[in-house]
Amino acid sequence: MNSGRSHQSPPLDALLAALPREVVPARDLWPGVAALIAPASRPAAVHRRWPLAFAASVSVATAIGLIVWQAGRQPPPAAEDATTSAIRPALVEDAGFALPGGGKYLATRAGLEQTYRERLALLPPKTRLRVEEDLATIRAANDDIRKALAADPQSPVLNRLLEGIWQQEFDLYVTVARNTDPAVRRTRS
Amino acid sequence: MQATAQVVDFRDAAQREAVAERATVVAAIAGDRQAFEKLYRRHAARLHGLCLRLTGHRETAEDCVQEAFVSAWRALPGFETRSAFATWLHRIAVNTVLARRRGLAAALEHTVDGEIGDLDRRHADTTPALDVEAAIAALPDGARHVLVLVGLYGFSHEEAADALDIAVGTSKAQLHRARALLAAQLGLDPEAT
Repeated sequence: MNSGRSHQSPPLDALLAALPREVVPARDLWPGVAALIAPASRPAAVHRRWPLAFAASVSVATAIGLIVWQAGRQPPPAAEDATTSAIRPALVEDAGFALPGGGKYLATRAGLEQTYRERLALLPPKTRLRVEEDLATIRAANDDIRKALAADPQSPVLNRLLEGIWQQEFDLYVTVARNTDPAVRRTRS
Repeated sequence: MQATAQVVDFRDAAQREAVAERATVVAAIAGDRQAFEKLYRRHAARLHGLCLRLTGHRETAEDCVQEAFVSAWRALPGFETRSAFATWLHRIAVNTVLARRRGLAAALEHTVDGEIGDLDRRHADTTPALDVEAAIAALPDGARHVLVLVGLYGFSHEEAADALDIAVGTSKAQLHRARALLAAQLGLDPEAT
């Protein structure tokens, strides 16, 4: 019955390939979507991701605090080590955040990072591993945002996210420095 | 030389587009609804095509597209930006369609007398494309779902099996079945398909 047609019909693959994958809806569906995604409609996790790095540094602080508390050998840091004390005013001064890439930012960041590297070995192995993982998370987030910004440099959201990531990196360095102050003092005394 | 330059240009454009999309996704993750609307504008037609072919019913497909975007908005905070957004979104749409079908009302929505079937009767034999759409719409659900996902929207059998909650072997068998049924409906020589 269809024999005549079959000789002229293109193979099935060609027919399927010819179908448009996109089919524009008969009406604009966005207003309906927009009505359902009002700001309050997203679960509380709405800001969780970007600040995945924020969560990371919080976990760092918690982990360090917990380990120190569990060890029970060190008193809480009543006074800061000279190195940390020297860094923190500079951080506070810059924490209003001199634009990254600027001299002040880079100097502060370099100082903090150096202290971080020196102090990292003082942390218990498990804590150190966790801190390093958190820093890797922060840096991966930083890379993602920078790539995104390369395509959309003026995005206010992306710029805010980037500032947040810088803040988290600084916080992590400071947290490590602060929590290793007692060990540094013992070594010196 | 010219062909090479074109290829390079294309790749650069594709990369630029990918980076731009990623930026938009990141902004949407952060709660930027305008960025999410951009994503909607970019993906809605393809998602609608997918839903329309899975459901065979225009209004149901539109509802599924809306539901899928709303679900995506809510799930965005958990989206890994290293994954392809389109793939993730398609998966949400498939889940939405299947969830609807599991509902009592959904059982009544799909019918070959639906919109595409109607179009087929009105325009029978006018265009080959319409023939194909109507033939796809008339396929049994299992065969149609696999054909649409694997044959039209680029899912692997593994991805389709996962999305449809079937075995990979079943997915392959359903695709074979769908192609055989389509060939028969379209009067194609099975050997030529």
